[in-house]
Parts: sequence; C-alpha cells; structure tokens
Amino acid sequence: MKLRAVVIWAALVGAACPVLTAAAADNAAPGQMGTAPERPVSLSGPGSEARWAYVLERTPVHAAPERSAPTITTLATSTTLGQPNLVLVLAKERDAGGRDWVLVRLAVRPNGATGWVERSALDKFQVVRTHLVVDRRSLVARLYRDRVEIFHARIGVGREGTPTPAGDFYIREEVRNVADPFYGPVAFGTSARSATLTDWPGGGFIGIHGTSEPQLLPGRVSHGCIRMRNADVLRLARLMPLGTPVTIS
Amino acid sequence: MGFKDRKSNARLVVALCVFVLGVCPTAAVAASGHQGGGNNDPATGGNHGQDCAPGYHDTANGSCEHNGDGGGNCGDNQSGNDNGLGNNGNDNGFGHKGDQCDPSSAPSGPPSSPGPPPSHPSPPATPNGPTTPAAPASDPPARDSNACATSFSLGRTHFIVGRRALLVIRVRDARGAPLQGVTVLVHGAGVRLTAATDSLGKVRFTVRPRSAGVIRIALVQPATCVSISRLARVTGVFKPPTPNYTG
Repeated sequence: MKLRAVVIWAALVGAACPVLTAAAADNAAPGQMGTAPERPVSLSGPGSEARWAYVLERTPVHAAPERSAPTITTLATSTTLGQPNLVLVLAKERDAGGRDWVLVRLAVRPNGATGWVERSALDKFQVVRTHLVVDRRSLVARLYRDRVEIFHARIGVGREGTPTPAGDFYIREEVRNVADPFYGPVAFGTSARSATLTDWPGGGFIGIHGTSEPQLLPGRVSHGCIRMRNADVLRLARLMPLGTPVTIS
Repeated sequence: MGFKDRKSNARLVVALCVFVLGVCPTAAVAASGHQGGGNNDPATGGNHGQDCAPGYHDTANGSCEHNGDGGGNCGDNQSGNDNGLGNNGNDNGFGHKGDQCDPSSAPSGPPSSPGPPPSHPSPPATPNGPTTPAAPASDPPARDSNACATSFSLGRTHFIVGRRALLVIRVRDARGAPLQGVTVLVHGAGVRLTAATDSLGKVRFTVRPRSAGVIRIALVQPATCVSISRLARVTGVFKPPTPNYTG
C-alpha cells in the first residue's frame, strides 16, 4: 500500500516537474542555469498561454540555436513607428556552450517565419492569456481569454487584390492619438505583413484599427488591414494586451 | 561555603564585569567596523569610546579627527573611510585611491584639523558606454548578505534617443531604510550599465540611449529575495504617431 502511494507520488512529481522547471526558468538570467544541453521547451501555443518579451538590444536572428547558424534577419529594439519592439516567444533551448536561446516569431516576410535569438537580448518574459481570432470568411474578430470569448466584432478585411494574410501572428504595438483619423482612435500593429503590398511605406504591416468610414463595415474593403468600428476598437484596446497571439483564418 | 568565599566570589564577579565592560565595546567595534571608521592606531590602544561622525575617527585625546581628504591620502592608513562603514577592504594601508598610490611614497602630513563632517559624496556618474563600469574598487558593498531591497524609485522613466540624461535610483529595504551595496543593472536600447548603491541607497547613471525601445532597470538580489525591476521607455524626438499600416 505504502509502496503504491510512493509510486503514485513519484509519478505526479515527475509529471509536474517539467512544467515547474519551464516556468521557473523563463525569467532566469542567461548563464544562471547549468550547462547541460536542454531539449526545446514550448513556451507559447495557440489558444493557451503565450509569452512575449521586449527586445533589449539589437541582435541577429539565427536559423538554429547556435551562433554559427545562418543569420535570418536582425531584431531591432523599436518598430518602424518608434514603439518598443517585442517578439512572441515560442520555445527555448540551451546550446552546448550553456547559452540560452529562444525561438521567436518574426515580423518579416514570409509571414510565419521564426528564428532563434540569444536569451540575453530579450527582456523578461511576459505572459498573456488572450488570443485574437480573425475569421475572414464570416468577417468577425473574436478575442478569447483563457479560451473563453470575451469580445467579438464585425470587421473589414482586405480586398481581393490586397488580401489580409492568413496565419499565426501577434500584437506588436499599440498606437493612440493617431494623427490620421483614417485609423480611428487606436491602432494595433501586428507582426503580419501584406504579401502583395511589398513596397508599402514602413514595410506593409497589417494593422487592426478603427475607421473614419464605419459605413463600409463589415466588408472586404481594405488594403489588408483589419478595420472595426471605433467603439469596438476602443473596447478591444481595454481587453487585449500587447503580445496577444493573433490567428487569421 | 563561608562568608569569605562568597566575598571573594563577589570580587571575582565584579572584576569580571569590569573586564567585560571594558573589553566588549572595543571588541564589538573592532568586529563591526562601523564606528566612524574605527581607530586602528596601535599607539592609542584602539577605540576610545568617542562617537565620531562618518569619515572621522577618535584620537587619543578623545576628539574626532578626519580620516583624510577626498579619496584618501596616499600613505594614510585608511582605518576608516568616508561612508562611515569601516574599512572597505583596502588592506594595503596606502589610501583608497585604488592602486594609484605608491607604497614607497612618504606618508602625508597629519590630517587637517577636525571640521564639520563632509556630506556623503555620491559615486561619480557612470558614463554611458558599451563596457560595464564597475563600482569603485575602494567602495565595495557593505550590504548585509541577507538584506533584501523591496522597493526602488526611478528619477525618470522616459528617455530620448541620443540625449544624455541622469538616472538616479534610490533603493530601500522593507523598513524604508536606504540600502547600500545593491548592484543595479540598466540594460536596453544600447545601454548596459551596472553600479552599486552608496550609503544613501542611491546610485546615479548617465544614460544615453542609442535606439528607441525599452530599458530594464533591475536590482541584483540574493536568491532569497523577491526580484524587482522596472521598465523605462526610450523614444525618438516626439512626433504624433502616423501609422503606415496597409489600411
């Protein structure tokens, strides 16, 4: 009887430990952990908790978690609008040299690209439990928190020639008091980029914003951005933190 | 046990008390090193019970005497320093100006006459740069290893790219008292600095961000303490945001 209890306890601890270890290690400073190679640990997944971090220093993004791996791009500390840059963190791993690496989602073309950066280049991981899902077919955006819908709104999406791209992205910045009323009172910048407007100023990022032409909504009216009524985007701004994953289907 | 024995025992107790009262303060001061720099002059026989201000030590005649000017005079035995926390590990006996003092140099003259205690000088502003400026070698932390910082204040939380700005950080413990010797890290937007707080719990950085973004200000705490940190924002010269999303 006692032996059985011990076995069950050991099994429970064994199951719980990887989770605890991952949680505890999230914000550990680089080099604080041992040097034993680690298998990648998932940090964000669709529909569940997600982690993001500000970029503290300009850093190269590698194709693999090692310095000798090819460089994909370079992460800047700010966005093209001068906002602090942040990345969605997907997984972490330690290389043979004891350096910690994190797999991040990138705001580059092609959409959906990911790459590895050294942990030391990023700030503390921050956790979000929200997830924005955009349905281009029904023209509805839904925000979930802990998998429970807390917001939905009818939206406008890209026209046929300039479609809103599908895929997994994240909220990268929030801009208020916008000078141009075209964008409404609040505009979110996402990591998504137009696949067709490649020469758009600033790189063709897809935004989620209000509008000065609410009569056009819902519909396929934009150059790729997701538009919603100003009241809706203001409500969304109260509910949706930075770093929220965005799925466009 | 007769009356005589009790009397001799009483004498013994009194003698012991006198001995303890005479020795203990000296021993305590010697152990703590917090008595205004103490007095390590063997000629004067140790501490004389004079309560001197930080930066001063007591002398054989019961008065307080300045430990030395500024960073310490070469050749002076720095039995204390200006932060009032005793010798900070400068054991070479030749001042605490790092290793710039020549051990062969002649000792300087007698310290100047006692004056009002100088105000505690803050560490010099650390220049911004890629290298991490270390705290002055003569001013290592006197922090209790178990002391935890529970709060800190930032002089500013917003910086402009390319503009030099002074960042003053004050670190306090749970009772609200300033905490000395806490290492503060400032990292982000092209800045990476570290320095320790002074006796007032204060540390100053000269920050000049190279890019927009964020700067994380964090305290290096023992593992048993709750880690605390704050973010500061770095922006370019302000202009109303004009998104260039595809619309």
